[in-house]
Amino acid sequence: MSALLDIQNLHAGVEGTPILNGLSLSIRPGEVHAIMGPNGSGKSTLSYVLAGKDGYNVSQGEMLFNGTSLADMAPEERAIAGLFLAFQYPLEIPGVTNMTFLKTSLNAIRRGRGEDEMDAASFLRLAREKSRALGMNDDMLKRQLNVGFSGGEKKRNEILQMAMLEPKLAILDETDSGLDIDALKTVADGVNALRAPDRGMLVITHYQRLLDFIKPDVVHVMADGKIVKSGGPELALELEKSGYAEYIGEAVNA
Amino acid sequence: MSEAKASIDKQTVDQVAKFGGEHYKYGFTTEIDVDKIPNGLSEDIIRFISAKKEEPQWLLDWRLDAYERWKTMDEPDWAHVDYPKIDYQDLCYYAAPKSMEDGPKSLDEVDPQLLETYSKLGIPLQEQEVLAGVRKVAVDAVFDSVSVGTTFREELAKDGVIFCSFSEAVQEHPELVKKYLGSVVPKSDNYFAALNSAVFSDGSFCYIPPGVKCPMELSTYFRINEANTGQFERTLVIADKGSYVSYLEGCTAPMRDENQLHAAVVELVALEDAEIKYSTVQNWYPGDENGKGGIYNFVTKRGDCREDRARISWTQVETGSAVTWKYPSCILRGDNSSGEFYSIAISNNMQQVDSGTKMLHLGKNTSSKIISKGISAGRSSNAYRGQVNVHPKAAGARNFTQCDSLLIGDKCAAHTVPYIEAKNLSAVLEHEATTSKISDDQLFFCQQRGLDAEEAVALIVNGFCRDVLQNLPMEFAVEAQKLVGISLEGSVG
Amino acid sequence: MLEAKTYFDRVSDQLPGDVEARATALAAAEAAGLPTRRQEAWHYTDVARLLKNPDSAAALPVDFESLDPLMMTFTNGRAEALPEATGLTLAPFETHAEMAEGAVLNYNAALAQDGLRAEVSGALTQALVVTTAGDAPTHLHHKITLAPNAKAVLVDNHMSSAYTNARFDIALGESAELTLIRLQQAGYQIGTSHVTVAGDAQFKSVALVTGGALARHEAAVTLSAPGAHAQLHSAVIGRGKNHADFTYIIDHEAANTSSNTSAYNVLDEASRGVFQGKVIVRQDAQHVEAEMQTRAMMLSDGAEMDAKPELEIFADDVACAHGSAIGELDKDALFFLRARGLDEASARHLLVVGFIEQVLTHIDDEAMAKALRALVAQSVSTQFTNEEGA
Repeated sequence: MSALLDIQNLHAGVEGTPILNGLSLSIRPGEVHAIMGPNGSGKSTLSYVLAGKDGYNVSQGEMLFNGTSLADMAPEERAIAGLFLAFQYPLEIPGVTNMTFLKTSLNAIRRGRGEDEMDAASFLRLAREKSRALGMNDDMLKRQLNVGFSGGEKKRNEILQMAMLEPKLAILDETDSGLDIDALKTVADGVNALRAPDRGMLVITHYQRLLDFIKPDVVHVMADGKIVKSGGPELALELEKSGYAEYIGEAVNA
Repeated sequence: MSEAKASIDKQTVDQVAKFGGEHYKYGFTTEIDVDKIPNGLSEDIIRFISAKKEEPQWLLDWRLDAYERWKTMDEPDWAHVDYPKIDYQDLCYYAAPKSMEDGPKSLDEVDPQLLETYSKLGIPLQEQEVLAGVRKVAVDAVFDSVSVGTTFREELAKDGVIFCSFSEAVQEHPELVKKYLGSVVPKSDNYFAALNSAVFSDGSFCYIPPGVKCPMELSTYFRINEANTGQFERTLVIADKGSYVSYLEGCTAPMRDENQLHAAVVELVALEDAEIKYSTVQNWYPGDENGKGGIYNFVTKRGDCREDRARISWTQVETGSAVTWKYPSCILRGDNSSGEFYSIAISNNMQQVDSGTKMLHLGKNTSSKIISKGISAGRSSNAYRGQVNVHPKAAGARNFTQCDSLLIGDKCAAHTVPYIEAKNLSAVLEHEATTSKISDDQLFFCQQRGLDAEEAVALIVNGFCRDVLQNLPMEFAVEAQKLVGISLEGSVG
Repeated sequence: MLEAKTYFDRVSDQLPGDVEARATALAAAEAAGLPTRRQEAWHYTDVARLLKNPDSAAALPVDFESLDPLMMTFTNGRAEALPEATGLTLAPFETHAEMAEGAVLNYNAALAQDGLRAEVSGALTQALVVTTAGDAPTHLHHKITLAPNAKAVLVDNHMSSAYTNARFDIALGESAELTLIRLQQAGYQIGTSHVTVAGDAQFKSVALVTGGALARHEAAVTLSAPGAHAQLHSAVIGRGKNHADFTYIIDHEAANTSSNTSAYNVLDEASRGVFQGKVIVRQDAQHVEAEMQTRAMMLSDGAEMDAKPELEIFADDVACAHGSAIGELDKDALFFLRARGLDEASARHLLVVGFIEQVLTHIDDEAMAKALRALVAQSVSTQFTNEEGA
């Protein structure tokens, strides 16, 4: 099976500062990969570079999504291609209701794929179904996007969007940050419900705890802008026990 | 609860009122022999002043030009201040202690009464031995219009730092004075600046050479003593590339029934990578509880961040003067330059304050920060007037402004007049202002923890002003905190 | 642009009322002249220069149908049929000119052709939409009075492409409620309102300016008895060289009054937004709450925002605050929307519409809000298609 996401020797940075230093990673459909690493290792940068955020520049290396290079694709084109980024710090957009936003986003992606837009009634049905499955009440759909939402509500909203947009590759950037154990479980349940044989996931996290709930197939350790070790789920437990110290040393010596 | 509040308010108001007249502890006068010229302002008077100071021709010409401009200008009347018309012909424009006539070679030769004055004010004219942990502070003492003495000059000279009276700088470093005088505040800038440019007597001059971090704080203490004189100091501080200086200014004056005019000009120039911190604790006589007497403080202070990465900050604690009109400002010319303004302005009894700052963003990626705390009590009026202006070419400009007013008692007024002008797309300007009184809940909480009303007010007001107090150099911070307490309560909080 | 004297001589016999009184007012106006930037209240608005700027695109029709409103139109300053409704009395235009303060109001006194004379005595079930249309200079003087407990919604729908000097005198009786919606899409308008709000009365103004070379909206609101409350919200979508100036004075004369003001400006090309809001709290006006917010979203180099939120406080037991934030379109928000599939133009559109929505959210009537949302969406569309990134 060919890779869903194939990153080769990626060098990238922001405002002239290099952050990713030769990162390589390959995710096949159906796989859940976890990336763990200390602060400053470049984890969030990786997610921004994959999603195409302004200001982040690739100086070397390749990012192939289903065989196509992401490099020249605008952020919305990547979304239309099926790439989804769940933000670490979801934004508030005052004046725009959750419902309006979801509809606009869904239809933009459908249009981009040559599909028909969803009619209002079908959309409403879908939105209610997906939000209830996540334990969100209908009220949240009417509120302004993330305005006044608690940390947990914001993260759940990200998962709702993921459920509505049905991406091929979902990148979860520190989805667990700021969540208490109950919120974490709810979010993890939502993510697990979206696992599928044709969908890949990249879970970026600092703490091992999330991986108790979203069990990865592969765990990578990232330090100084590259992957320094890969292994099975047990690698995450090792990290929890001994921390990142040995890997920071490794990256320096590598 | 509202009865308790009314009585607390009354107590606070009474305490505050008590301070107004009797307790201004700097209100004494000094009897010394003074050389005074007749009242009036004319070309002759200006020539006289210039000759007395043995100034070069170019400076006399400069003064005369300023005088010509001043004659064509109108006194500004747009501020939230109201005062009787000043008769500019009924003022004396020069008064100097006689003992200074031939210039004392050392402090031993200065009139002892003069020295006594500064001692009473707690200002160290004798160079102090370095005590453990206490930094030296160099002092230039200005009595009426004349510099009495400057300490630590030799030590400073070792680093190439020039710190002396303005008059002396004109004699010893004319090329520097000529280069920078009027380059930040042109003589025609405004009515009071023009007047000052014509008749300024003395002030401090300070030059820090490239790369030098001035080894001690430099300070000037201004003392007005003689009656019916106008005080017109001129201060010029130049920080050359990569240098740093922290400069303190303190001011007091005796209690008199007549108002006295103080129209000063302060110019700061910071070159590439240089930093100037300018702090003021102003405690001019504010007038008595009926608004009789007190200093009119009309000052033009401006800093020019002339080159890249220059930084200038103004910190002030203003508790005195009957009428205040001053807007220390920064011109952010160099790219990545920054300006800061931290101010506590307290007004009581019948004081009127119209004060604030201007930040002009001209260069790229400039930033400015304004924190202004106004406290009004008695029947005073306290207005913040600020301008943040971003020029069309000033990409990436950032400003944060916080101006808060606290009202004590219901007979005073607090005004906020900000002008926020963004002409560039990428400017980010944030401004917040609040006006309120000390909350009943806060007072009650303090009292429940054992503080009486006075102490509670002092505590709360200090908390209110904390952002500004934190920014003062240590030597001043303690004095300022005490002053804040005193000016509101009559005894140290 | 006005050539007022010539105009007056030409039309004075057609104007209702005492010609002498009008002539006196005109003389006073001419002597003072149109305001210049030297007057503090006109510091940011150079009327003479703006009157020379070409007007922006024509006004788009607003669909008020779904509201089933009472409609009336002033075409070139003259009203046609007066609508009828229970609780609404529309009197004929008054016939004498009152001398006023300042050139703008004196020109109005001299040249006013017509105006609304409305007395509302009950709770009107329909909104009253007053449209100003035409292409000739227009002077209107409206007087609206709400009796105690009366309720009304009034829409000032300015569609004229010419110069308009409109004066509103509004008085709210005790516990009355008035929502005033002001729309300007074109033309050169100087609107001056005086509003007095009695005890427990509520005045709400929501203004939307989507066009017009000059949109100067001045309002002096007096909260004269306890319980009075005023809300003034304005939204500006600026483009071309359009200039929108909202100048408010909110005077808390009495204790226990409150006010809430906000201004949202989206400024593109060489447009200019001005907000001057002065809140005055008089000495005996204790327990006053006053809040003021200014926000500007700058979309291009060349756009300009000037904000002067002023406080003049003479009482102490008050809670007054104002805030101002000026910046460009939030880049992080833009990225977020694009990462969710929206192309750049759509993302910008959504952010701008969302920004303006924060003003429209104050409109209680859903049908009214919907009609205005449609106007905003259209207005933003014609402006922001295929825009390059900032």
